[in-house]
Amino acid sequence: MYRALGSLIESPVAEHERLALALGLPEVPAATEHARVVRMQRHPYASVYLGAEGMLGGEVRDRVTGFRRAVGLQEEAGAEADHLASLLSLLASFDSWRLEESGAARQALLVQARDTLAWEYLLSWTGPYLASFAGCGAVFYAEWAALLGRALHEFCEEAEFPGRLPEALRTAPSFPDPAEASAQELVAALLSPLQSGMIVLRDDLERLAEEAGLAMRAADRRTVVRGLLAQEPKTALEWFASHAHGCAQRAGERGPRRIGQWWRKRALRTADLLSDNAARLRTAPA
Amino acid sequence: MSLRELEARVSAAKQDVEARGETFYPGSSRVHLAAYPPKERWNDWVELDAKAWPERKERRYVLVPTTCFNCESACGLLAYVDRETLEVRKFEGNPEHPGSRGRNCAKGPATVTQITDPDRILHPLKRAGARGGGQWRRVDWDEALDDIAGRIRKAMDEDRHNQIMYHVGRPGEDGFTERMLAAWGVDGHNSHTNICSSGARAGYHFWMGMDRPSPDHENARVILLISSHLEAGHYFNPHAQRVMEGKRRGAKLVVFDTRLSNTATHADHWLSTYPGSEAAVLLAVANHLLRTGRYDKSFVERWWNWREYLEETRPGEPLEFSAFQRALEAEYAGYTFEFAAAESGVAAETIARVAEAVAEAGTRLSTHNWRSAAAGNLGGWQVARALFLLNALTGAVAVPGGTYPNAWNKYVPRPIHMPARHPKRWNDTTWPADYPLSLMEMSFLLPHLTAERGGSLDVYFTRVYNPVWTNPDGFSWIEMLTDPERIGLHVALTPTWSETALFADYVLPMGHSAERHDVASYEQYDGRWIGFRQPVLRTARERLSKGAVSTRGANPGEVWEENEFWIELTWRIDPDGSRGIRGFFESRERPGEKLTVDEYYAWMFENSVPGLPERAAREGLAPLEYMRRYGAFEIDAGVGAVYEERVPPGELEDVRVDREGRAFTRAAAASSNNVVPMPVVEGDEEGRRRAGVEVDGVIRRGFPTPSGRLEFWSRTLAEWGWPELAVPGYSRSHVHPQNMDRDQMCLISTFRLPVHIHTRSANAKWLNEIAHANPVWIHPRDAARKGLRTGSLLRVETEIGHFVGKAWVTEGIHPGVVACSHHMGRWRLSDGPGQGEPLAGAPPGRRAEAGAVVSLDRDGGDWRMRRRMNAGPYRSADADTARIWWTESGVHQNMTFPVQPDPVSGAHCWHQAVRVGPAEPGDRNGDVVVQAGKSREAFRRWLALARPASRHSPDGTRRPYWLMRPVRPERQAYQLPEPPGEPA
Repeated sequence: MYRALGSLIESPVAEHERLALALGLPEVPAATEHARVVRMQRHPYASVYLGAEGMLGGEVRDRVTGFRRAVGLQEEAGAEADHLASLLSLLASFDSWRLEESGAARQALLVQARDTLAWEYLLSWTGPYLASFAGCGAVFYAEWAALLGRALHEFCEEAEFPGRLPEALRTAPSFPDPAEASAQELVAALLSPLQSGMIVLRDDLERLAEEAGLAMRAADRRTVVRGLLAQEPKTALEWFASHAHGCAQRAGERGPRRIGQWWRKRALRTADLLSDNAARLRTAPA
Repeated sequence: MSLRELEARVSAAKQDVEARGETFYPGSSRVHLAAYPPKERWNDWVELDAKAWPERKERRYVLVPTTCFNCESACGLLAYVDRETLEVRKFEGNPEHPGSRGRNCAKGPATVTQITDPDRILHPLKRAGARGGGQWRRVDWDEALDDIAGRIRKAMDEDRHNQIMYHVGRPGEDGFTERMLAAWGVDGHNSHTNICSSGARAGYHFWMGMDRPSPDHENARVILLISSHLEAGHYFNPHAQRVMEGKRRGAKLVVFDTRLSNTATHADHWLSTYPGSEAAVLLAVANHLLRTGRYDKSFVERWWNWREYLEETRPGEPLEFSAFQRALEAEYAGYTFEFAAAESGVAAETIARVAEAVAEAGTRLSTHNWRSAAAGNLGGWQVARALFLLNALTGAVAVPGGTYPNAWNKYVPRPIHMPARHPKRWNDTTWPADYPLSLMEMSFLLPHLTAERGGSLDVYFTRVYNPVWTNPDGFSWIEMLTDPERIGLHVALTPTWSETALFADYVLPMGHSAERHDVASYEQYDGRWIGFRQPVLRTARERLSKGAVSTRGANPGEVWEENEFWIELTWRIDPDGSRGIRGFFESRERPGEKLTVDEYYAWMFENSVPGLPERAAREGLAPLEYMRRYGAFEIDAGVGAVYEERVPPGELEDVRVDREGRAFTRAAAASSNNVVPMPVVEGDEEGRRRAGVEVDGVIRRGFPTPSGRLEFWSRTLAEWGWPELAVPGYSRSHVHPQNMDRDQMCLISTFRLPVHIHTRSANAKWLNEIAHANPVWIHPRDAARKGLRTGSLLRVETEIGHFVGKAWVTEGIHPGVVACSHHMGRWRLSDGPGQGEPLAGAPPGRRAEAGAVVSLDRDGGDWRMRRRMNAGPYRSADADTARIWWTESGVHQNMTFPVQPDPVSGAHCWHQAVRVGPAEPGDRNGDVVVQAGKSREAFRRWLALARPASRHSPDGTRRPYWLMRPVRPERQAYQLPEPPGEPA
């Protein structure tokens, strides 16, 4: 089932119809819907959510690749080892291999490897990621996210996890104080889920612009955020603070409690910092 | 619904779908290669037309597999045939192909530009004026077939079989044509191999009986390449992907290459060896293994023919392995790292590091040499022999991560008719007694041998071969091809125009990879597979029920395929079957009628490919239908160390084991439908055949060598005139500094450009856009000394002439060496389309895409080629020809190289001793000048190095009978004439 769920986050193809049918999901949307909801906004890669830069690739992807190599996997994962479909496929494979394995020690090792994969590279980010599908306007993907959330939640109940947080969360850089950070650093931190504890989609930015009556540039997210902050810094910071609060509330909905708490705390701290700075802007002399 | 119920539903759906042979998980390219169109949808695949963007226009395709015909790898292709128009729109990889696994290099997808090339030859053409005059008239196939068949029949009736010759460039198939020549009784097979791989293959052949390496890069700890094999060369795509997989698993890559090739840039250790010094470095590595005792002594003791070595070379020594070990160490003690460093120019420390890596690799050492150093140097065959010494020392032979002999990783299915006959006559023109150990035909000497020994050919086929451009000394080929006394009728079978086709009497269009049938199998990993090439439009028509047609009916214009052509020609040579030839091309289902390609391949796939009928039946298909649908089939994987296998008791009867341990039996050999070429393993004097060799008291399969073991010491070399070269060694090349004048440099001329493949890619516009020049690589120190800068015109003087090219100053070349790829310098003599197809409609000012238009001038014995027009844009049916932005097309350097046959392997030694300097007044880019007299002198000088059979044969024959040979004549023909004649 994990493999099937992973496959469905790829661009829709005809084979997805029978997968969706088997999983009781609604009709598979058109490729354009996938592009709008997933490809352009909710990038299904661990590195985007676990990397300090909030971008594809880098150290996180290297670590996933290293993990695959460490467990003896030589098949070509290429530059996409941290894709959600790849990670879920590997999660499912561990269970298949365990069933084929007769030795108890090997079976135990496979379970350990499976749980490590889930803890370090899946559950560490899927909570906030799946939560971002709420209100995405696409029934299929909303239900898909809910189902995957359920499946992972059930997995957590059976699995044994280490006593400490995943490596990426333990070593995550903190969100900078906007009063001390350069504009560039602030923008980068706002768009890095690991630093800010929140996921900022392009849809969110459009909402901010609309609600605040600001102009939104047709550009990449960094440029857009820079533009919004430049136009109305106080309003923008307040909006981001409010968004961080919302993310904090949703952070613990699915997945392991400890990880959920981490994301919640991180988002709340970000909200506090942004609110404080917005307040300072209000009181600062003209 | 609970998650468990959902999971059960998914599992049930998966089982249901996969039971139908369909794909459940579409997969993703990031996990594996399942991102290809699922095979159950190959009959009706829908894609948006990229060229119609932004309109969303759907195109419906039928996907038909075939195999690429550009290089020899035979990688799988999927042709996307438009269901409406029945046109091939594109080619992608075939994920069902076990060798290439869905991946291709640039040349595979570029096939679409070859089949749609507006200049391609679409109809049979016959010369209308003088040879090379560029005048042609269109003829129909019947006229051409009757004319050619008539001449061949007459030659046979007059016992002039040796005047019929088939000269092949890219075979691309396994044995069809060789069997046809055997059926004709003609020793007329001539290949290009002695200008290509035969040097290295000779080295392997003397060691293990089989002549090609099959390295298991994927599982190696150290991968040692004597080549730029990651970017070019034989099987490079199937090998390159496995090299990269090996690297990902932690393998170290060692590359010997004088140039900083793309491959060298991927190496952990790049050794920029001075050309010809490679064997010295390899032997230094061997010496390190011996000195430090890190070799597999058990393997050496069990599988080397060390007893023969001791008996023949150290008669005073006891016949004990310890004595051999001492002798072995003494043999290579002189090859120190310092010696190798002095020869190669590579630091001793670097060589030591490589030696240590090899020592640590154990049996996981995969090595490969195909052309490169082995094709460049006098004694180049010793490079492969020294390289395989490392495998033989470490026991890395046919074990995971090691190097396998090719024949155990290759499968040639037995065909419906297998001619058991052998030609009665020996062809001295291709197999002169001067070169008794030549691995293959002395093809590149043909013009000289016909000129100096009076030979002539009545019917000469060049087939996907372009010796005028490819071979050294191309002007001697032009002289021969234009001489009616030497060449009666020249028939060029080719898919593309070439410099050789310009001098033909008939130019007969043969199909590209998507337009012909062939079966091929190549050693690309430890497994055996067959790939099926097929005319995709013919198959698509059948699949879409649009009516069956012959290959010629389905292909563009009147382009044909060779299978059907040869069947038709043979029937016309022997129309009533009285010559005993036609029977080999008759139907079994319909006696007295012609064999069809459908019957030929249906029989082969039903009867000769283990597991294929069963696999096909599982999908409710006949074997031929299965191959037409998937294009490839893997017979088995993990073949392993065949030499270790015990010979089953059923094959052992009245066994005799001789003192060398060779076991002979009276039991018949187990029948096999794999007819892969192998050397002849001789039986004993009492009529038993050899079953194997006794090792550890057990009769095992062993190796197909005279001794049954790996031949460290070669009796063949020792007894046929080369005792000093009987063990792997190093001798200084003709381009060693001591063999050149102080003002000379070595020119490396053999390397390929990654996107080109000799003549065959000349009509691929995409590939020409990527690479269209061959500048001369020169080191900054040498360039400064000679006053050259990048882009400077320079003159390169060889022994017989000179060429003018452009300099490329780079540190990517060894000082003292210059390099120029042979993959450029294409030319034609006029600017008419295809050199003489009707000019009507052709716009004025037309230019050649890939090559220049040149003039050829002859002044007495001297030849000069000069460009009249560069490459450039022109109008044609293809709008892209008007967008050609380049004018450079490189220089045809091979014209200026004399023939340089290695006296042992027979391979042409490509490297040249040259003088390099700025161009002289009047020189123009692309100029080529050759003095024919000097070319003949060079031929005679190199011929004098040979040790002819007439003086050195130990048994009065022309050639050791056990050595492999295409279209082997009957045994009696091996006898030298009585009294032994001295070659002229």
